[in-house]
Amino acid sequence: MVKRLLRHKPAVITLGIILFISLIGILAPVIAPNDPYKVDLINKFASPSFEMPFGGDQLGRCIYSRIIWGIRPTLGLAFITMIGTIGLGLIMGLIAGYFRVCDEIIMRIVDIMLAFPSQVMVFAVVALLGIDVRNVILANVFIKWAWYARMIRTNVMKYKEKNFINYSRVIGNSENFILLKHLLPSIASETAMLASLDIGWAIINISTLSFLGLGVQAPTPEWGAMLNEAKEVFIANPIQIIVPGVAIILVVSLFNLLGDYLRDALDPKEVM
Amino acid sequence: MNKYIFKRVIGIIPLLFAISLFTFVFINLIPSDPAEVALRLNKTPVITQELLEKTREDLGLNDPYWVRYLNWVTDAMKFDFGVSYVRPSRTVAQEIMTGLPNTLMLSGLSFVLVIVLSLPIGFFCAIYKDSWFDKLMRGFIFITTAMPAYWVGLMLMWIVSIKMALLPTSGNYEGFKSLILPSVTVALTYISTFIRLIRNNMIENMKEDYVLYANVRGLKQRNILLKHILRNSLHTCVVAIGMSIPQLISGTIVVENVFAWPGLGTLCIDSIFNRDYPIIQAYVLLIGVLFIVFNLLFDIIQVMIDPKLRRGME
Amino acid sequence: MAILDINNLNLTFHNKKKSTQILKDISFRVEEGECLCILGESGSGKSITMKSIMGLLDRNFEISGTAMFGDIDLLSVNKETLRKTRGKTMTMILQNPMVCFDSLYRVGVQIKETFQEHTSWSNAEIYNQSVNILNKMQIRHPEEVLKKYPHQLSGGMLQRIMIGIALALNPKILIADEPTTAIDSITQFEIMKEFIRLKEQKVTMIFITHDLGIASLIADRVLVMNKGCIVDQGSFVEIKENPTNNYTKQLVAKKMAVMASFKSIMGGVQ
Repeated sequence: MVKRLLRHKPAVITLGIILFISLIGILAPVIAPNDPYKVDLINKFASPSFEMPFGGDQLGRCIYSRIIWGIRPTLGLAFITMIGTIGLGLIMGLIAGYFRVCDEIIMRIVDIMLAFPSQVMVFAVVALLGIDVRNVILANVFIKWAWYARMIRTNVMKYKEKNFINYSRVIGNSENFILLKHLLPSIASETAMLASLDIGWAIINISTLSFLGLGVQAPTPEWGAMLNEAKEVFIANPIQIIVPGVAIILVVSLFNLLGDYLRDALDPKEVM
Repeated sequence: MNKYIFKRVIGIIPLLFAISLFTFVFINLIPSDPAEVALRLNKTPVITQELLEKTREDLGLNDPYWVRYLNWVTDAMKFDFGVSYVRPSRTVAQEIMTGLPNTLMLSGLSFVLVIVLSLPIGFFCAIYKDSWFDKLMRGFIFITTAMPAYWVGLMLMWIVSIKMALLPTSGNYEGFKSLILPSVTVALTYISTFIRLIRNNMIENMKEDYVLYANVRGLKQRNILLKHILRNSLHTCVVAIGMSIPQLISGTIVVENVFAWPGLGTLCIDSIFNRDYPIIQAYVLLIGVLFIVFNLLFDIIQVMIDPKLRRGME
Repeated sequence: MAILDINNLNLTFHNKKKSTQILKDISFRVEEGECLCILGESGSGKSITMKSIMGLLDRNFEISGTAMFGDIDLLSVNKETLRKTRGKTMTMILQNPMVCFDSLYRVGVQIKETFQEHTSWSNAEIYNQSVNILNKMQIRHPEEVLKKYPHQLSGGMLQRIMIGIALALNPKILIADEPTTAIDSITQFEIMKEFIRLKEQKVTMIFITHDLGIASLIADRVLVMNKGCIVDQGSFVEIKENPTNNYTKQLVAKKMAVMASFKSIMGGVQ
């Protein structure tokens, strides 16, 4: 799978750009020219300059530095959400599909979860648990896990009947060995592909909640939270909504593109 | 046919049970004591322990959970969700009924926009597959899927309302004019899904043998496209379109907040900030039930319009 | 007199990445009243030859050569003329009757739209003709059948309706693209009887099949195709007795056993 992926040039390039952006986020303290939290009212709505490439916001903070620092929470939270979603989906999918414990019950729950309006569920969970970033992640995991559980269960069932698994069982390998060495690697590729498509979704969802004030709170420079602050002042300083918005579109596009390319590279059927 | 409808209607009962249970558990998990809230709403000056106990008894909070659940469900069926915590003079039902028409208006116009735009666009993309128009639209779809709805709203507000001063920025004070920007925003976030749906469906249909045979019989291209391919694609799309209606209604939540549109979405977010739990609960229940009902409705409609499925039922 | 005269037909498929030649120098003639059988395995280019002369391929295909049908060249004539030819003077029967009709419309409606396209008949005339062709195809209760949706009819029935539609407007040539492949063997036998009847009525036909046995029942002349080329042609007996080409030899040898048994069954009925 990795080999096939590496042969697909556009996928490698997209992945490279994403890694590069992540690296900028990790190295934010070194790369960002200014302190993203430093309030400096002299620079309120300062126009772009060499020190502040995108100018200053309503508190005179450097927008450019805030965008760079914002990579951390924006991408980081999306990653954590996806890890949580896949983790829970994997456990439930394996319990149902591989161990066949309470398969019926789990799948019923999954059906019910999938029948409900996810967008409203997020708000309900956040309302219930209180306004906090952790709860936003929990809410997103809560509405998405069922989808992965179903997919992983289907895949597990499919692979379970494959001959190499049967063979492995016949020659006396333990169930744990089969699970770790055969089954998980087999379903990993498909899951990874779907996950990369959904990171874009997670970024949009988390930033939306932050924008509404239900997620990451100001002054943390998360992009959605930045837009939340900007919505009060964008008439005076429109760059404050343009820059974080474009940043979100760019990153989400990259992840969507990566997902398309992955599907393209791993499953050469025509996609739109 | 009637048997099928009956079976489907029976089938939604577990779902309705699940959504009602979820909202019931939800209201009971919240970290505030309903008795205390009730007393505060009645402006009781001093809340003593005995008073709390008594109120609990009066409100039936000491009953076993299933009794409380049954009472709650019966009330909910009568559309009685108690009073708002924040504005005790108003019942939850009143609050919902104030917001609902605005939300329906908004999602209604968005729905019309989505259909009116995505049908012809998807249609032409499919006929002229890989032409410049198709490529342009694919680019448009790609970009719009990456755009958060609230940001689209802010940008439209900035460009159309502030720079060009064409439409009001927010609220619902200028009738139809106020409605335009929010509905365009909602429409923009859904339109790409629909264009893609119709385009891909039509392209799939074009590969079918019945199209080849229609060509073999020398039918006019226009007839084949409109009478056969489009109609067949719409048949498969109708369920997706129907089920997106409740999604549109719930999808307005974010956009309503951007434009301070006085609908259910704004009400819901305000209630989250104010911890006005009865309202959130009613909202979740309402949208959940809407989802289930629309799902059912369009499943049945699909069976009714498809001769193949219809005959199978009889 | 040749009804159809194809000369140097070449077909290339263009894809984003590469171009593939599908048909190479196809030339053959179909005389009036004869039945030409095109024989070959699936993927040998039989069907696509027919599709290309009928103008049923999309823009990704590049066609060269000539195909004279009467006095028009099917490969260079404008699309509208070609469309009017299709379904009227040149008709075709496809191999999978179950999926060839639009499942959303009643059979009668689909027959009607074909007639509306090519004739100026009134609704009553169209209705009479529809009943008429179903009668001719020995379908019982034609009025009922016209009101049915495609999925309510059997494959054999739909195939006969298809043949009926194809013959209704007295075409100069009828192309049958493996009309018996997708239906069960009892129906297959019924349908073949239908074709033998047509042959006896001297309907000019191109009959595409991969089955030498079926070809033996109906062919005046046989054309063998392999990998997009015509590898052999001649009368059925010539092909069977003296295949010149290696591929034909193989094909004949392989099919001989099957054919023998098939013939014994079919022969008993004739």
